[in-house]
Amino acid sequence: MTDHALTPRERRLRRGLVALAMACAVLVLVVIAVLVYWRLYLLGPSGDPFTRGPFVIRLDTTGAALAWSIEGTSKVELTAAGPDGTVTATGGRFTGLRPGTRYLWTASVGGIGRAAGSFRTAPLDLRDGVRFGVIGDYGSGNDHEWAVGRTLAAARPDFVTTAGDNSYLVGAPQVLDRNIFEPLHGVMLNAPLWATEGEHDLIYSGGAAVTSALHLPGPRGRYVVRYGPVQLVLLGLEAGAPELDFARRALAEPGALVRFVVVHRPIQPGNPILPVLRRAGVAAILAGHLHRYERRTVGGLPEFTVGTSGEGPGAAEFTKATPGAAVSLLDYGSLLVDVSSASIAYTFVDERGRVLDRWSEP
Amino acid sequence: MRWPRIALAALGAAATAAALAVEPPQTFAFTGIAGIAAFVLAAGCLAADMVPYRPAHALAAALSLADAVVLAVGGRAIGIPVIVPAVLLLLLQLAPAAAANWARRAPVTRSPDAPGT
Repeated sequence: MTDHALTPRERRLRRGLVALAMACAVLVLVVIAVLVYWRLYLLGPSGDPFTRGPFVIRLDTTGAALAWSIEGTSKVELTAAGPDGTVTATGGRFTGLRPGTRYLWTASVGGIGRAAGSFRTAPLDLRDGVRFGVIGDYGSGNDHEWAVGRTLAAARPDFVTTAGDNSYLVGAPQVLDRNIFEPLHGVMLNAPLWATEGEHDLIYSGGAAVTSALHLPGPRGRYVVRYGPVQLVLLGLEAGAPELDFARRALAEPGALVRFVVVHRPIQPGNPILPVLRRAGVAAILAGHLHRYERRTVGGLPEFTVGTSGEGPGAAEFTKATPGAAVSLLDYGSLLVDVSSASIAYTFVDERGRVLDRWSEP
Repeated sequence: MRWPRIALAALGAAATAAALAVEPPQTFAFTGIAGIAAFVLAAGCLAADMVPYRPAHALAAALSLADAVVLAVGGRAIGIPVIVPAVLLLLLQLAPAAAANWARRAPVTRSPDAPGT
């Protein structure tokens, strides 16, 4: 049968079929083009395989350690780039690093870099200085905590210490990502978080959940850490009789050039621990609990209360300024401590990045 | 020969010329566009060969449809040089006419009692 043998109706049918088939082909091409464009340029990258971290948990003069949680059993390759080339971690731990040196670390899963940060190994002395951050009463997961986390991350501290109440209302495992790891993600990529524990942490399993999640060296927020020449003695909830013995032993350890004591509840005048701290040459007491930023002198020692890193002041009658405080503020923020061989400088930076208090001692 | 098949043959010839004259990867710009256009034309050709139904032409159109996809992706999907789908596209348009010609020239065997013997 030829074209001429077709009836006019059949010819119309054929023309319609041809047009329909070509339109369908164009449609198929358009759909393919949209799918390809969507896949290549609109869809985001595949999701983060890490359910927590990686975050720096240990730093000393020649080593560092990171921890993380990941979905499934994917293998994580951890490398650090430094002045001597690339170092590969074993079991999340780097060894054989240079003191006082910044390393850029990368965690790869399936051959793709999925997280990166940096850390600075502890120096042997204070020639290049040490900077650390102090926060307290922060773990509420609100906008203020996120803001404080951002400013603190931008300050690039070598480490961060917390004065407790790391998670509100309780330090239960289910809320630690919301209250600690997510708001402080940027900080914890680059600096270990050495936390003491307050009432809200201890009320759940005696603080074990916070201790375990942050890989803290001791229970109930009571332990000692060294970052090269800087020693932190973390006492936990308060400076009572057991803490006095603990502090005496810790402060007797040789080697540290500068010592700080971290405790949740501020130490009050007349506390028997004060002469011990003064004799040991403690540079300052770092506390929380009161939801204010305060600077005052207690028993001849500077004491900084940093209780405004997230949770907020609450009712005025419970957040009264301490009599005799040189500075007492309700602003959200964190304290930066710059330790050098010449002086120690304390800078309180609020959540908007403004310096609200600055003080130093030779 | 209907116009979609003529256009397909022209596309096949142009793609063959591009594959010969232009080095990869620049040639993929030409063959990619030719493949996309050939895909649309081959779909129309296939529909046209259904009314009236012409099996050899329809088969050639269906093969052209698949060949157009290979041509559009530059042969990379199945790891062959782009000249192959380009030449194949041209040959597939000539094949139905050649087959019909060959069938007309083939000797016809008539039975002894057929009318006219």
